[in-house]
Amino acid sequence: MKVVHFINHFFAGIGGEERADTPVGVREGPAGPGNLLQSLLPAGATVVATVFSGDNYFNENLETAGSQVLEIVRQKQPDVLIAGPAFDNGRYGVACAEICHRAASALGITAITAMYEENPGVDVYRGYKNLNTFLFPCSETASGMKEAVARMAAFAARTGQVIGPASEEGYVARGIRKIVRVDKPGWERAIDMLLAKINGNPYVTEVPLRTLEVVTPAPPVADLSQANIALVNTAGIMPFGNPDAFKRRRNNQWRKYPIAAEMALKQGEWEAIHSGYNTMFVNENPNRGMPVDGLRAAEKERLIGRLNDYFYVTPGVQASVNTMKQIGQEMAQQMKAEGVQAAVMVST
Amino acid sequence: MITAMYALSKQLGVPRSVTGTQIPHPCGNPLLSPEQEFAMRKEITLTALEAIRTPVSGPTLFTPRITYSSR
Repeated sequence: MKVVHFINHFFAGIGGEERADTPVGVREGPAGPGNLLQSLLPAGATVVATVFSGDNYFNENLETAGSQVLEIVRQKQPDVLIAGPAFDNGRYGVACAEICHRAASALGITAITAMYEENPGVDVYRGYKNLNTFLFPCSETASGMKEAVARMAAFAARTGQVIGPASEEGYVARGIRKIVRVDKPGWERAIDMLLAKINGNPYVTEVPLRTLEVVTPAPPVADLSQANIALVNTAGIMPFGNPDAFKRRRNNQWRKYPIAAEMALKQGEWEAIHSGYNTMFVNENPNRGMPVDGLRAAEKERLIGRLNDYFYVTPGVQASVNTMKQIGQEMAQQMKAEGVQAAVMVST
Repeated sequence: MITAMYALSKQLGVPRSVTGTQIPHPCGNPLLSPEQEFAMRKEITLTALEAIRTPVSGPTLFTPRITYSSR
């Protein structure tokens, strides 16, 4: 069995955040965690090549990078593609999910990846609903590398066999429903389930309802010349010194800070608290991460009524979706109380 | 939302996404002079305002009229 392994710039040993723009490349044989993968694959299975990409390079050039990786994988003619594990690295997780989908679709092979359950890559994987891609949950950090790689290797060994539903096999459900024959008719199973529910006994639904929440777009603001516009950032830009002790990841708080006196954010007065990207550029010029100067110009030219006196921030990195949903709702409520009509949010 | 990860934001259903330049500086380009960079940032800002003025029925991408090629 021939395996191609996809990893990112960090696990390929190229460097840290400063090398996140590494273009797509390839090495012969296993590299980084691929060595562990090779040792855990069944006899006869070989990691013939390792394809890698910088996290930023891939996400900033989704189509191009995706095609580049696919071309390399195609040339190697593997039986299985394995990507990651990406743990809680969102950019890496998205790349893994994208590549698994492309390889499985274009080449008809099984594609396997692993990442932390709250990685945005999971939503990408679920959205594609690809019968030949399988995403296994793993730990948040690389401390769970061995288990994650072992899980993917064990599943690779099942290539060619009939794969059962997610609840049995342990991969994250894709929402694909397969038609199967069972002994009891539906009405009987429904009554059994109802009796169990009434008697307080355990039961398992046959139709789990799980949808990616659809957000209804807000109506437009036709005349901005009277409007109060607020700035929001998840880049983690906040007053220098981080007075409210934000964490560099996994926050569950948000704050608003005054900018009524600012025509532009000045270097040294603000800093980005965020462990998920190279913050040197926005530390140098914070307007690059939240365009106060741009909106002041719009204000001066009467394109907007005013820039709100406060901006809102929470670092958007390794955040729980439910927490961020709550934070978004709280921010919106506060903005409404301040007479804000619309918000411009910047995400890194 | 202004972001360089606009393909993802659109995919996940963000109603109005504006193309940012690069992940570590979505409204910036450190290779430009301060004046050129500000002009570019202003254009990105105005595109965000245009998005606010535009009715959308689903995830929509707005692209500023700037020349920025990351690679």
